[in-house]
Amino acid sequence: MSRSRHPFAFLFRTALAAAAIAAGCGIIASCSRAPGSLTSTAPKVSLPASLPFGSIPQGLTSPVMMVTLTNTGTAPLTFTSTPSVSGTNHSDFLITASTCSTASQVAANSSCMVSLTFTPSTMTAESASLDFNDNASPSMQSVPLSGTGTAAAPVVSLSTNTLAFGPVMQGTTSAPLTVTVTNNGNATLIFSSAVSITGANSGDFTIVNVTQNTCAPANQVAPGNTCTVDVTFTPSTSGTESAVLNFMDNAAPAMQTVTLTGGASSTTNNMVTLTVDSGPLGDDLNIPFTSVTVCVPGSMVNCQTIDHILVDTGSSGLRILASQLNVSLPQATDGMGNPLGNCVQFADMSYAFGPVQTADIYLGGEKASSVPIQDIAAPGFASAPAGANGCVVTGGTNLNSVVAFGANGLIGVGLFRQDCGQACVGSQIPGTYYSCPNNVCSPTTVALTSQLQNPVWMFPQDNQGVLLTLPAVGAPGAASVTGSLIFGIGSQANNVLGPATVLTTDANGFITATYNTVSYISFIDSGSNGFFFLTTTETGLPNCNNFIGFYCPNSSVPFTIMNKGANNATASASFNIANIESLVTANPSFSAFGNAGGPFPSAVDYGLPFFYGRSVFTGIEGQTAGSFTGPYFAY
Amino acid sequence: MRIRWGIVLALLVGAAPLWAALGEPEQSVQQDRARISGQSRSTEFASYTMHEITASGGRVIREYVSPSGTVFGVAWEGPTMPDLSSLLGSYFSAFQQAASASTRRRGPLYIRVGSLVVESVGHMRAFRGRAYVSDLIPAHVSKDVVR
Repeated sequence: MSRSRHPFAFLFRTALAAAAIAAGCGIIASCSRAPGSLTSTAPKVSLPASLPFGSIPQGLTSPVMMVTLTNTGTAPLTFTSTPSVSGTNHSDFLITASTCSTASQVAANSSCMVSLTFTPSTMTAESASLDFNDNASPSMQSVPLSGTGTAAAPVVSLSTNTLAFGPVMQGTTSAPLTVTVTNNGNATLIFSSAVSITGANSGDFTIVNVTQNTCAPANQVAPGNTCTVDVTFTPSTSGTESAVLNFMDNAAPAMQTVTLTGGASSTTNNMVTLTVDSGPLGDDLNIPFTSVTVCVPGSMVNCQTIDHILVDTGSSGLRILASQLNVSLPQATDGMGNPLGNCVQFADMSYAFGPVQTADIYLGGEKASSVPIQDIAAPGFASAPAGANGCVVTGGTNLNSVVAFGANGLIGVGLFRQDCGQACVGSQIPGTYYSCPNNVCSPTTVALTSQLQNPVWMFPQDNQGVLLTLPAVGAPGAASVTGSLIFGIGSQANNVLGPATVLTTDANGFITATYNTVSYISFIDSGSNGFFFLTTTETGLPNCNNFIGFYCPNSSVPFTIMNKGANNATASASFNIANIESLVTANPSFSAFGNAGGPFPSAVDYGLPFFYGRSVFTGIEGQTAGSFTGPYFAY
Repeated sequence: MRIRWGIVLALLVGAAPLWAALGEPEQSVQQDRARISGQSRSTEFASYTMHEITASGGRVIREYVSPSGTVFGVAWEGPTMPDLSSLLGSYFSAFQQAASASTRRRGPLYIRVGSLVVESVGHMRAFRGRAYVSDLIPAHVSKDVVR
């Protein structure tokens, strides 16, 4: 606030100071020495010769000015009246605080203070006098007060005098920081030139979103209104950098400045928080979430951060429920220029439909630019097509609301670069992409680049896949669990494969699981919420009575299954299955259970409980980390 | 084992089911096969016949017919979910009622209603599943031929 030229800010601060003085030495007599014993002693008053307020716009109030009265005599000074203002323009000079009181003496070598402001009512030079009446000789002392009223004027107040950018990876661009300019004056603020950046490293700081930058000559700022400027930092060197942001305008003085500073780091922040909690509805079980920031492509202002986005290693692409999306993203089109729609279907027969739109996606320090995403159930767009060529799965659930989805959206960070891939390039496949002229949708082919993309492979770095880490969950379960979603494999110190075994998948993303000499297709899927494998016949585990779809053994039962990749590498998976029904009954608010599982006869699905206490990698097709190229799972 | 190959032209019709249905006679396979563009193949085994229809984008439907001429099982693979209301025929309503039971399970679908079993699993790009009626499976044939 030290750059603030807001008169009220000064007034407030000074009034506080005055109050503090009054409190500390409120009864001046108590601060004074004992009265002298010599009869020849006398008080003597020392005052400044004058108090000029300078030029103040008519109708505005000046900053607070102080007059200090010092008793340079040898006896206490006693006021016979309260200090007051007299003279021609006395009504324009206001005493805002005073410690020079008739109720207290000013001891020899002590002081008292009077605070004043000047509010010119005319556009001329004004004067008055601050008068003290006391027991000194002569008994009245005065300080001439002066000031000049000028034409109404803008007064600039800046939201900050320094923009400090945190460490930004050299050569990459930070998220924008904003300076807000407030016109606290009584006349329109007019910028005389475009806001500029000068100084040593001016080339590395950039005013972004010029169309959003409202502090510009073309945009006058009325009294009481504000404008903003957004600045980003792109370090070109490894050291600390600085520059100055300059505002030129019709305020006085005519230039205001903000110091810009920043430093470079050598790595990108490739980690975001992964949280397992009960979700937006409070009833999710073993569902991992993160927050995702989406921006209109190229904008760093039209952005939104959305929480409770389900992190899914079993799919690819970002999908957000329209009801949770506040930024207006551009609509994607097919090859003919018609609006493009996307359908997603899941193995449990649920499905979602919505337009394909384009966004910049920010996750930690990572950015994927101009990524096609799905805006689920966007108002004004066609609803899910039904029928033989439709998206609707007859009998399944339409995930067109947070209530139906149990999440605000889903980010697919799975094995594949796109949701559909080559199949949708060559064929019109119902249940994938739709061309929707006039909101009438029919299946269409889509180029790879126009399909929903796993954002991770679009990052400039840390794009080999993802590592999910979650702590182990104790036998009773946990209310919530926090871990990390880490981008890249073998790209930074925090995502090395280390002792993990890489199990490459087949073209469909499956590995092979073998239990008791019988083999099953298998996959590792953070979007599934249990170990789904075998049946009561093979496991001996009873099904739950009420908790449909889960096993409910009387006590925890251990299992070990051998997994094998297409590369013939093998890694065993050991886990326990406990009675989820009794665990949830014991702690209904818990959301994380490491020993939850249920039957499935013809495949082994390692859901989120597999991730607790493990580091699980999902390598993206065609992306190479060390000697391994995706698609693969590793743990 | 004898394999018959044939190329079938697209004859898309509006309301009729896309595929032959569980529990229905084999003729429905022939009728429905005409409804999709793609390649069809029949394989005769000792105790049953498998009709396989391959559609664009890697969609495959397999229908398993008993010697008495009844479809006792269906299986599917592909990037999207098949229309189970067509595949399950008259069994669909029982399936749907069971599948709509409230559950906190998120994962592959495993529904058993009497002698009907439906399994649906997989992930994006690669769904697969099967449905069979155990009562209709021919003697000496395993349910696991339906795959």
